Amino acid sequence: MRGEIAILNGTVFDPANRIFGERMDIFVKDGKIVSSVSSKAQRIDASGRVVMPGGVDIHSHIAGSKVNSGRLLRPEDHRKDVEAKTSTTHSGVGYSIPSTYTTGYRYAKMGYTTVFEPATPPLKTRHTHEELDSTPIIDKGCFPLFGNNWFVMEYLRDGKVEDCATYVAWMLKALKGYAIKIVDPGGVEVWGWGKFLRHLDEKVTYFDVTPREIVRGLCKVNRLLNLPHPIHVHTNNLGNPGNYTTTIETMDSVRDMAGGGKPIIHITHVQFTGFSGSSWLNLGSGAPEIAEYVNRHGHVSVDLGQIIFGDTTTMTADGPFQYFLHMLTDNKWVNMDVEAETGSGIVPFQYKRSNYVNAIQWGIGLELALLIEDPWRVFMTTDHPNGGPFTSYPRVIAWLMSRKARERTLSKINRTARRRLTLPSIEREYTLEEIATITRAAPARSLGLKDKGHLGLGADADIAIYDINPSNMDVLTGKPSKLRRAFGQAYYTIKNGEVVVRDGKILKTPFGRTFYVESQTKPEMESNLLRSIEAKFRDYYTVGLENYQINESYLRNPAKIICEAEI
Amino acid sequence: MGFGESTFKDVVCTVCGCCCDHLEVTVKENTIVKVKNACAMSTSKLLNYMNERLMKPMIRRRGRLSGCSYSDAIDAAAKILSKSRSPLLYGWSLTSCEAVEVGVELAEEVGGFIDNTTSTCHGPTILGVHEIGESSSTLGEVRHRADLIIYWGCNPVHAHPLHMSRYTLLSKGRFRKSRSERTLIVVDVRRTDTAKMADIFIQVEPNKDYELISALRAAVRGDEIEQDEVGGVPTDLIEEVAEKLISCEFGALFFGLGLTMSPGKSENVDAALSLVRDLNSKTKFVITPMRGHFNVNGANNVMTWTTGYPYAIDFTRGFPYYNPGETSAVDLLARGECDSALIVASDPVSNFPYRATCNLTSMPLITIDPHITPTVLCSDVAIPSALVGIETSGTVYRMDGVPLVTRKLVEPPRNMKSDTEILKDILRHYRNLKRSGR
Amino acid sequence: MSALKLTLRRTVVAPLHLEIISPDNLSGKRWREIGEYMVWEGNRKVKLRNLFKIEGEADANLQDTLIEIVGDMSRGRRIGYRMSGGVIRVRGHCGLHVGESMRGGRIIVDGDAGPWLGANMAGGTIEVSGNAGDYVAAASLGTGKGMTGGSITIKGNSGSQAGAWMYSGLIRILGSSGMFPGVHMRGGTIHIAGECSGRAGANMRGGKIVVSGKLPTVLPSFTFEDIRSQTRVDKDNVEGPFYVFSGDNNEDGDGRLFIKIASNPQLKWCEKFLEV
Repeated sequence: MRGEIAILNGTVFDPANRIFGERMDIFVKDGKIVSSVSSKAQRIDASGRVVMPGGVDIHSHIAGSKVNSGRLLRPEDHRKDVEAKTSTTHSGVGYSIPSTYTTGYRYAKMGYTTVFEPATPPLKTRHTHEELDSTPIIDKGCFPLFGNNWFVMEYLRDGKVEDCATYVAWMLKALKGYAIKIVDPGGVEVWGWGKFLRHLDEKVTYFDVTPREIVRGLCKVNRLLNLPHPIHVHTNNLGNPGNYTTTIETMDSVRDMAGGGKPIIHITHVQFTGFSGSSWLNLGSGAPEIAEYVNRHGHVSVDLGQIIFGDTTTMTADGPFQYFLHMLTDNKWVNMDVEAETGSGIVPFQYKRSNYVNAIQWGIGLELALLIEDPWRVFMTTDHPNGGPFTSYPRVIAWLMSRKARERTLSKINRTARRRLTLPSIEREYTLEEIATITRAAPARSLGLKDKGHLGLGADADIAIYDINPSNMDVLTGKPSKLRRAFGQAYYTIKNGEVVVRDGKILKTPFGRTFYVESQTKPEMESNLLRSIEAKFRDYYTVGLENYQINESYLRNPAKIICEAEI
Repeated sequence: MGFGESTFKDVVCTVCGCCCDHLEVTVKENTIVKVKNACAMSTSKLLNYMNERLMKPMIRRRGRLSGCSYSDAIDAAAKILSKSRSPLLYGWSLTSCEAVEVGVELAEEVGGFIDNTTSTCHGPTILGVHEIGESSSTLGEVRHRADLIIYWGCNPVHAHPLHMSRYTLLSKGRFRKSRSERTLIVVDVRRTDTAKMADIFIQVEPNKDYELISALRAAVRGDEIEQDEVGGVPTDLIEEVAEKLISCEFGALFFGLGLTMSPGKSENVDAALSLVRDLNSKTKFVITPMRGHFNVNGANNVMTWTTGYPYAIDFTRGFPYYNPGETSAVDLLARGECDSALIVASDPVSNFPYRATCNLTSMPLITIDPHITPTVLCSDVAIPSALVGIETSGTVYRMDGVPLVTRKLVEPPRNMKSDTEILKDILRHYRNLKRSGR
Repeated sequence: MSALKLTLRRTVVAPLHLEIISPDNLSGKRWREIGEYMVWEGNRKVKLRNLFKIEGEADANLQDTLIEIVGDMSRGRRIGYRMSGGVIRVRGHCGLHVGESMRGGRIIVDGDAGPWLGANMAGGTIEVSGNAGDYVAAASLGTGKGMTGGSITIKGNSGSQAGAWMYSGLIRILGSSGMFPGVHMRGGTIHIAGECSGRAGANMRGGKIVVSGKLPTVLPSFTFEDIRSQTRVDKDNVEGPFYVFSGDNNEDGDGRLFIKIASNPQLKWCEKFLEV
């Protein structure tokens, strides 16, 4: 029942529409924000509370083959965090790799309403969609992996950018994917042989193309297809001391293609690729250098990948990095290479306050957020679950908003790390409007989701109301536990015009939409492409072309976004 | 192709865990008349799928099974479950993921146990993965790159007939174009038909696989093995094989019930997983279990994403709890801890140990199956269902986790529903009964 | 010492979850209150008094609390879960997970014990007069960390994988043991007075396993070290002489196997490695 709701007298933060803490009413009807409602509307008294658009998580590993392998790997993780069935919710398990129902419920309870799975191997993307469709409440989408794809590498090696673009457009449509994801370009193909690749200009064995060429090529493709989100990049050399230089090199590799006033490359979980130093012993924070670059170059956006101290599970498509982590920790290790496309790896991990490297990592994420000036180009994530479970977002918000919260944690971390970080000297505290920007408005804009991340007329009625009294902010920043609690449990979450959460309890569990992109190329481009790949398909893959594609009818609630390609 | 015929291409097979998807099936007048590209097992299934079908719902009255209406069968099933303190829902590996997802919902609703055939097959594999992890890949990676293939305790020539030609020894990959570019090692207790194709056949003494893997691990590390032979295999040969393992460019180990169901079980798999993990410090190596049924991996995947656990899930206390040996079907039945059972697309009466089967057949028993099986014949309620991949479509997962959609090729017999529909009907009716206080 | 006595009054028809039965939960409580506690029997909750006739009283002092259980507890789970003091005595067979995560106190089982006896044990003692199932003192799935303290004595036989992933503590099996005792062990001591069916100490990284009866073979990833005339198990001297092996080399392990020479003539081959 998507009737009418009147949210009255709340203090609204809607940065996309330049509303920064104004007392106003928000009206909802038929799942959209409207200008007025009838007297029959459900009334919600939001006085003394903060109203924001529902949270938009641009990068969180919640669905698909590697996430499920992670669940399988860790029955011990599940045992410590169990959810019993209620009259409105299914049972499930949580902690670092929640089951699908629990994932949807927990996001909704925090006031999040849209989440993207950022790395799906094309051959197994049907699995990703099955899991997304088993995740209630939130709207969602997924980013297929292209950075080690055989067709892509061959097109780019041969300079065939337009063919590559046609292929990518067809792939996004066939897989019901949303954006171009690149993980360790070239590196995962080389890992198919158990080898490692370190430099942007190193050629990928047998493919004669470099990581730089892959990134540049796909950046061009992205522009040719007019995709709503820039290329989403997990750079080479993740986890290696000194890798901040790779990050800057990668950002710089497409600088000449900048234009249009918005970012053309998004570097994800940049904390993990923000290390200075040359070894574990002198590891330092590369955040100041990266922040400086981001501040001076508008063609880049980043998300944090903030770590949280405690036990979690690392999982990425960066197979070689995950092997390296296994060797470092001696923890159990899952690896899954995917033919002609990509790979993945999973290793449980514990971030310890007392550990020098982990303490530096903790500092890097926060330094990045606090040193980057434009909140529209830095998004809050923990790269769930790599840095920590998404349920720790309130903790990150508290660190960003409260210097006191940071100092408390700083006082407990490895002393040498504390001395080497810039963080202790940073006074900046994020305001509520900046938090609303980095957790909602900015990710939505980056994704090109025009009706999300804001509360303007016609926007989707995805709304979060928090028990934060904005006239009390000084008190709150002095008591960060209150901030954590408020952001951890929404007073109300409204999804698509329905009240789904009240006082931290799930009331309703509708299923959201799956967004995907269709970039419309000229019809003959696609038919030529299909003819040319059909011949090769069974040579490259062990499944037929017919079975590789996913019909729209397979998805529970597909929502197509059309864009017009330039080819 | 003759008049009134239609041919389906790229059809996904529904027999073993290979899930070959290159079948061509010709249908005429709602019957399958021709099959191309399939192995003998698959061809036989596709051409004989109407044999021994359960054609209508049945209920046991006064000791005898007799026909009844669909709604009576649903009602009887729901009533059995509503009175049950510890219902067991078992099977799942021969039906679609969509059906399994409803099955999980039903098990949670009735407060029961849900388990699939993993617990009698590759359960030990999963137990090993919980402790060690798994270095693996999709089958195409093996086809493209593997120059060394090992089959350990499995016999693909008979159990997975197209495995070698589609994915391993006889397949053509980008980097390995022919048989001559690959080496096959087979380890088994007897010279099977697969062993006859091997470049090196190692005949291990029965129940000594663990010792042999230990020795291989030692040899791969370069440690001295003090014994002259291990498990009936001379130490010299073990060292020769270890050398081959280290010096290959890409090795792939496939294993079956020879490891999972011989003494040691999950420890055997633990050892194999550890060997492959160790080998990754020297070269590239992957390991894949040879899953038997076409959707046992799908059942594992669905159960894992909905509950966190791949099989043997206990919902009796309102949350998922998992402990194979305690919550797995055979153990529950052997201890007499279940008081009713719903079997879906499986025939445990034919497969389970004696005491478990005795207990299973002495409790209210509901079976949903396309065929008349011994389990059906022992049931109190039997409901016929459409065959996945022939009469109804559904998603399945290949042994390496690649999801595929099986097709509907023909119409099912009149009024016959899919497992998904039947389970939804039982669930709906169960909820109605509960709501009205029954 | 006053005793609280629980006598099973009917057949148990489904898994019975009894983690509430522990001195920590029941000490100082009156029988009437205890009778009202609910436990899961299959998917229904039942009151304890529905299952048990409850007599006597549990002492107010934890250390002096004595709980006696009479009746066939084979379907029971987690009696004595996480207890830290007091005594539980089961006058018959007990079920699964008895004494799991125990920290102190004492459990006595007069009959047989099911699998996972003393899983994740951290302290206290368990004594079983009969046999025990598989996974004595083992780690829960996936944790890689098992027993960290306490001692378990089984007068009869035990199943497989006793002491899996053990870190510290003592397990004594007076009868024979199934295969894989001490698998993935990191520390602690296991003494098997009778036979062991095989694979002792597989993947061990530390700790000690003493087998006084027959062990058919030693894993090939172990190295013969020496012959020793005796060895210590807790405070006792156990008479040998023993073949001593170190391993598991596959895990760079530094554990020790002590295998009694008199019971193992088939292992004589290792003597050729003795340094003369």
